[in-house]
Amino acid sequence: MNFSLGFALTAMVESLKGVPVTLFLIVATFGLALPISFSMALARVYKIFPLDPLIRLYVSFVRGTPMLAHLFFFYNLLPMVIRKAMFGLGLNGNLVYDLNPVWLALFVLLLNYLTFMSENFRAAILSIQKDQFEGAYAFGFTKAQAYRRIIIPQAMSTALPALSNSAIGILKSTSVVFVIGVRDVTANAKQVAATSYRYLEAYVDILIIYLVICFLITRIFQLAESRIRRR
Amino acid sequence: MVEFIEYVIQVVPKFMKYLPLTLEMALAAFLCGALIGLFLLWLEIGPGRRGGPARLFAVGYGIALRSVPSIILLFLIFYGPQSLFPKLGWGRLPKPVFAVITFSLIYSAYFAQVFRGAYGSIDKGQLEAALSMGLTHAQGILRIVGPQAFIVALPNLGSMMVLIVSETSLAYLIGVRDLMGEVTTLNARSYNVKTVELYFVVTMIYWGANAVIERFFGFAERKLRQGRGNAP
Repeated sequence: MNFSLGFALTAMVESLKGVPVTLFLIVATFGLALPISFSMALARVYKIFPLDPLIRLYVSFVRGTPMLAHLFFFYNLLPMVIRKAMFGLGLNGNLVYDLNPVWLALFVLLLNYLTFMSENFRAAILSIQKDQFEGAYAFGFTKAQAYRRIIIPQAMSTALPALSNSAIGILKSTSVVFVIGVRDVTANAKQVAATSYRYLEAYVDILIIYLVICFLITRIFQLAESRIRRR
Repeated sequence: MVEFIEYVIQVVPKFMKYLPLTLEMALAAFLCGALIGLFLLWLEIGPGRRGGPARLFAVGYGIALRSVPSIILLFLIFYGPQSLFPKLGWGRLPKPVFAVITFSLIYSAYFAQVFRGAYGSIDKGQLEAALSMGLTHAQGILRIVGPQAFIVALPNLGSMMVLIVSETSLAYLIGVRDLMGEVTTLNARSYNVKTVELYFVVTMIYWGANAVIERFFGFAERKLRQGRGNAP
């Protein structure tokens, strides 16, 4: 047995420096995905023509391919495209190489979780009985009002457990973004481990960090759920 | 554009050699995960008493394994025993084995959830009827409830297999030469100028494989549902 507690502490301090990046990725991905994925779910529920088949294709693509491949693919493709486009507009495209990889990671996480969250919302909207709409229209509500006052509050309480799963999924997915050079929790831990060849301690440390963040996310969603249910 | 297509056609065969390894790892993880998942379900709803150690273990295992990122567990399983017990020779095992162990452990927690949901969706009356016909409890579960629950679980099992195939791509991070590992090799060999093409090809191969898997599960579900009008 050789597990050095002292090194585990050093590695913990180093790894904790990555927590803001990890939290930023979770919050930004989830926050941006909420409105977009809800609109995507509406487009699919109402079968709006060009959008519905396109979103279906997109969902099948993201479900069937690894996020790791998306990360590498866009990490190599996007800067190239943006650079060309910026030169085309007469701007200095080389600025693109100063871009923090965090933004690319955010883009790929969003690309992935939009599909999962839109499926969460779609299931939730479909779970609402038709007579809820009919009842709202009978009271003279417009479609928008019916959604705002009747459908969304009910759909939210069905969607929340699934959304909480997606949020935990985002947390777990952030652990691979180190491959494109984002300095998150995992990246910091790996670096500290590599300098001293003590991998076990560093990985146990980040395990603890991820468990704590995961616990917090679960708690937040439990609170949100109990608040929505009370209304 | 023509150059792009020519290169893509040229490298596809190189990747196809590594597709079997990816699929084998995924299938092994799927089967082991399903077995461990069944065992977890048995711990959770089996003969153990409520609040007993078996149930606590099953519930705790589920929570812990579902909140750990796959690569962290992969690294822990790869490096952990090696550094704690260096004499065991753990590091000499073939590398895909570590990936299979990791994904079996992680997905067994999800399998337990899927099986529990499927088991719960079968009406209690089915087991009661089986018992009243003189079947033992085990027979009732195996012959009456099990087959019905399996059909309910099939769609979820299909998406689980798709997820596992995508997840095995992480195995290259411990040095497995699967599809993803091959991209890195070819990328280095072509001096990083064909990166976009290579990742495009590998993404399409994963997508194709997973489309076939989805079709297969859809087909299996339709076949098994035939003549069972009462199944939901």
